[in-house]
This record gives sequence, structure tokens and C-alpha cells, in this order.
Amino acid sequence: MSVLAYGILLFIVAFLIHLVIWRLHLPKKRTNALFLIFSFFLVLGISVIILRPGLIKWSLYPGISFFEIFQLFLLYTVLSVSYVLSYPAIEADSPTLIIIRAVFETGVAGLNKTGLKQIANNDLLILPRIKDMLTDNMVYLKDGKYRLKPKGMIMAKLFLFYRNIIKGGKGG
Amino acid sequence: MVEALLPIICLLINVLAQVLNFRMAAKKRLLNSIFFGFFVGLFSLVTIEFQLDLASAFINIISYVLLGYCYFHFVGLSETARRIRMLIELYQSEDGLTLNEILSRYNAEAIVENRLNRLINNGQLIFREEKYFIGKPAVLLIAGAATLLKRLLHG
Repeated sequence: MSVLAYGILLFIVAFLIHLVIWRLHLPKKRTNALFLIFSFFLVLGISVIILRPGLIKWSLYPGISFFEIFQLFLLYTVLSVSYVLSYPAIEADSPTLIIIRAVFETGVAGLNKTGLKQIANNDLLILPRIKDMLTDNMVYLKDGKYRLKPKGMIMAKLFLFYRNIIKGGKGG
Repeated sequence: MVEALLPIICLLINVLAQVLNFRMAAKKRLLNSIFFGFFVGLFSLVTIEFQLDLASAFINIISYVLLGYCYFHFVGLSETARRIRMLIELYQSEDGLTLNEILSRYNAEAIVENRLNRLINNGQLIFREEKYFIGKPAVLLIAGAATLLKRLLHG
């Protein structure tokens, strides 16, 4: 069970370092910083196994095989990607969670649509996301118009491709 | 070596099953198609792994579940993410959009309306006498977990 234990341990260490960094100084480009932290520990973890195999008690098999390293790579990567993908829901104000919290806070009295509109407006739901797209180099603003940068273009094409495959609408 | 690739191969089976299920279903329920694809992929993996090493199979199943979670997020982003919707609007525009043009295509009202419909359809919210109430607690629990994690990260 070493691959599982080592993979989870690496992830926990990376998560704790991320926690410490976030408490000390919140990075401007948080998703990039997360990718950097988790990638660093992946490289470090695999390097330790290859260069200093004696440090890790590898009990599953007598030697360390490429198969086990690949399994570790896959396990750690999907653990990290799962967290990074979940991160925006923690960080940003998800409209669904805003609605649910607002309805929950009204308790048995319930919440009507007018109350909901006052809480969930463009200032809260749209403008911060546009600012994020500018910060993340997905769009740029010129002559009062927002236009796509190559990164934004790739994202738009990727998701549009998927939406076309499932014959879905624009989403949102 | 092929055994190590099994979670990825089964993810591809998952994606294929999900897309086919969603396209062919008379009633388009995205969440149902995601679960369908996930279990088709999991069934394929367990059937193959049954004949292989148990400890290795366990790791592969965990990796597959996490890959399934990543795919669920990808589908979720394509369906609900505000940034993705705005990127698609910009991509489909002739020469970019002003803020007012973006808001005329996609705004808080549309966002709230879409989510209210989804939450009511999934039973997470109840609409009674022109008011909304909490239904099933699943999303409420997710909201609680997100708040806790946010506090943990930001103090």
C-alpha cells in the first residue's frame, strides 16, 4: 500500500505548504501558484524515490518499478487536480452557494425573488469574474471593448467543442 | 504497464458513455448522464481489475474515482461557469464586447434564474407561495464545507 500512502502523504504536505503560504501572503495569481506548489511536490516526491530509495520503506514490491512510479504520479496528479478544480468554489462567490446560503439564513420565513435579486447582482456575480479574466490573461480591454487573448481563445474553443459534442447550449 | 493506464482508459469509456447517454436520452438530464458514464467506467475497471493484483486494483479505483471527479468538474464548468460563458460570448462576437454588451447577453438575473431552475429541479430548493425554502441538504452541506475551507485558508 506504499503508493497510496506515499501519494496521500505528498498531497497533505503540499496542501499544508499551500495553507501556510496563503496565510502569510495571498498570491495574486492563485491558480498558477497552486499548480506551482503541487507540481513542485510531485517532482520532489518522485525524485526522492529515484535518488534516495532507502528513505522510503517500499513494502509492496521488492524493488521500485516504473509501474509503481506511474501509479504514484497518476494518483498524486488527480488528487492535486481535483483540489485545484474545487478551489474556485472555495475562493470565489459561487452563485449557487450564495443562493443556498441566503435562503438558509431566512429559515422558515423563506426568501422571495426580490430579496434574492438584491443579494445576487452584477456587481457580485459578473464584474469580479471579468476582473479575474483580466488578471488571468484570458481577456484584454482596449477602446472600451473586451477581447480574447490566446489563453482565453483556447479555453473558449475547448468548452465550445464539448458543448457542441453534447449538443448543449452556451451554458452558464 | 497497461494496468497503470487502466484508470485513464476507463475514464475515456466514462466520457464516451456520458456523451452518448446525454445525446440519446429523450429527457436531457446532465447530472444523470454524468452518473451513468461514471458507473459504466467503474464497472469496466472493476471487471478488468478483478483478475489482477488486489492492492494495485485499489489504487487504480481511487485514481479512477478522482479522474471521474475531475471530469464532473469539467462538465460542470462547461455548464455553469460564468467565465466560460463570457469567454464563449466574446469568442462568438465579431470584434469583442463592451461591458454593456456582455451584460445584455449574460447578467446576474440570468445567472440566478438558471440556478434557481436547477436547484428546484434537483430538489435542493422548494418554491412555495412565491418564496424559496431549503429542500434536500446536499448543496447546503457543500456550502458549509466551502465556508469552512475558506476560513481555514484565509483565517
